[in-house]
Amino acid sequence: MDSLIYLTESLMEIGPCSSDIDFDTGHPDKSTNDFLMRGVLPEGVGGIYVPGTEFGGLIEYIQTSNTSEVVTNKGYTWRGLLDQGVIEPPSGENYKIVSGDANAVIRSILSSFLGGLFYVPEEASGITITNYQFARYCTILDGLTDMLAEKDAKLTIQAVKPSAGAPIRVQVSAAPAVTIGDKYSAEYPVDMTYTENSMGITHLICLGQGELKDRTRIDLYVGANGEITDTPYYTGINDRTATFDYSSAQSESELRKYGIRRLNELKPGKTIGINDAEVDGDVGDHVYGYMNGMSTTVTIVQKILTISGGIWTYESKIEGDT
Amino acid sequence: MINVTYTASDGTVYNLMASMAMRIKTANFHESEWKATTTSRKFGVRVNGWAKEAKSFNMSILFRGSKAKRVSALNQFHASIDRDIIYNTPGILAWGDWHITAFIHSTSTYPSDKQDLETINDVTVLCPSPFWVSEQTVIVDPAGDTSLRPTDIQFNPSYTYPYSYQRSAEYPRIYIDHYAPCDFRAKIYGPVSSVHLQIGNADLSVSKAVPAGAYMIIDTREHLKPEEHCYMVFGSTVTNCFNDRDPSASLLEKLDPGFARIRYDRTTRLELTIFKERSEPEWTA
Repeated sequence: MDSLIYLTESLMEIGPCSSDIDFDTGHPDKSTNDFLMRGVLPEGVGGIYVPGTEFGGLIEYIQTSNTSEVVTNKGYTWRGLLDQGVIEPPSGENYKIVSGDANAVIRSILSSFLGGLFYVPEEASGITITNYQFARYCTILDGLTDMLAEKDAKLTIQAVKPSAGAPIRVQVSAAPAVTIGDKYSAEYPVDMTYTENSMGITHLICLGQGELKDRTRIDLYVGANGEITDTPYYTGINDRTATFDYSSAQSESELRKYGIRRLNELKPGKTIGINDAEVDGDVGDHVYGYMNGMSTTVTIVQKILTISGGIWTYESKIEGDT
Repeated sequence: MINVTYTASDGTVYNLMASMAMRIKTANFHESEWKATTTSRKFGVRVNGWAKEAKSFNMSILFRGSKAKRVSALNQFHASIDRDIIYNTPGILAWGDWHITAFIHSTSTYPSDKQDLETINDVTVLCPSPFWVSEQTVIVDPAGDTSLRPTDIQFNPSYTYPYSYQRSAEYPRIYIDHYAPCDFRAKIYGPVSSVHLQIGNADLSVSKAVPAGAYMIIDTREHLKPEEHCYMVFGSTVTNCFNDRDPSASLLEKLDPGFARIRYDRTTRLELTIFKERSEPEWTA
């Protein structure tokens, strides 16, 4: 049974919470990674969580007013707290470069973060990272999310109670992304939309460091099958060009990496939208949809839990939704 | 005749079916409504769930007797229901074995047009929780005597439970005579080094010693404060024990209806109260 439980500041359980609350957690570019709860907090409350899930966090913002009885409580979700730290290059190095099992890498990144709030299991994830170069001074959440996405893996976060009398533990680990298939199709009673979008960008001029004519420039193109290439494919009326300004890119490879990510967001294509509320799975998992003879795979980028009047509503957002 | 009472939060009990002094003239306790939460579909709606609003109903009470008696009774009754509102502590309206928490928040009093010895008091009742509750209590004590009827008790000597029970051969079984999962309150008396209790599928293990003279309460009811779901009382000291629950023990799950075995070592007394909830009080023949 799902239950929402109050925590002390030292992460000990106090008892169940029956307040209304909204959690928003997911990809750092798509989610606010925070929660909002209304109501007067019982004495000694410092946090809140749903056992066995990533819905939870520390209450760090309380707003009261003499004109309203409403008290607003907010905080970052566990995932949101990972956005409050930065991965720094080692002294004398330009980049932090890591190799090894993904869990070991995550453990090394989180070892001294927030006083050891996060726990990474000793078990190997089976996902091997080889010479991964973090962007300079990226947030921990950005860095780990990008690192795992390159391996088609996801960051799983789960707050659990390890034993009686002990504080809860926020467990962070890597896991392969799962594709939820064969469930979302015309035969399944789910609302879907099919979009054929030719309004996208097919040529992206990526501009990096330097001044005027000396700026680093990389031209990226959309290929015949939607892949990103260095060779123009679309010409004439279909040649749609935009610029991507990333003057802080420290290298050509970094400029290329973020340019590819940007062009993937801007390019034309055919997509299937699936009613978000119907989608199962974790942030980073994929959803396979089939409609009008076309199939597509999209990634879950946001999970929302709303508890209102005792009714729990889970909602997922998939890539491409606004 | 069904006994109907209103117990104000100050403890005063008003018998609303007293043949003379105070008696319900009209009231309908047997009305209820579920409201659907839906998502619009091309054809009709999809029902996602059902909810209930607070229950509200009207009741007309007849006060009888001499003028002095009626004035006294009315003044006392109105002081009680006013007090409930001022302190925001509901009273309890009982209909036979079923009860519901209630505020009487609107009244209108006027003389009966039939007799000089009657005064009518029309009231409106608001029940914050829209469910009527009936309590079923079971006591398991160290002597082996239980409040269970003989037919309720069954034995399963072959059962192996991962705790060391002194009387592991005897696990009483109760029958929860209802059609829906039920909230409950368990009161476990000390001394026990740790509470190992399972009722049906509900694991209620709490790793906390309960000394002699103390008791622990585990209560699933939703309207309680966070710290009132698992606590220990020892003299005047009350200690929240929710964090001492075993990770596998939710302490908040209702009991499924039907037979439920009570797996408990029976070295100390256990009192179990099961709260059955209905939209309307159950009819009796």
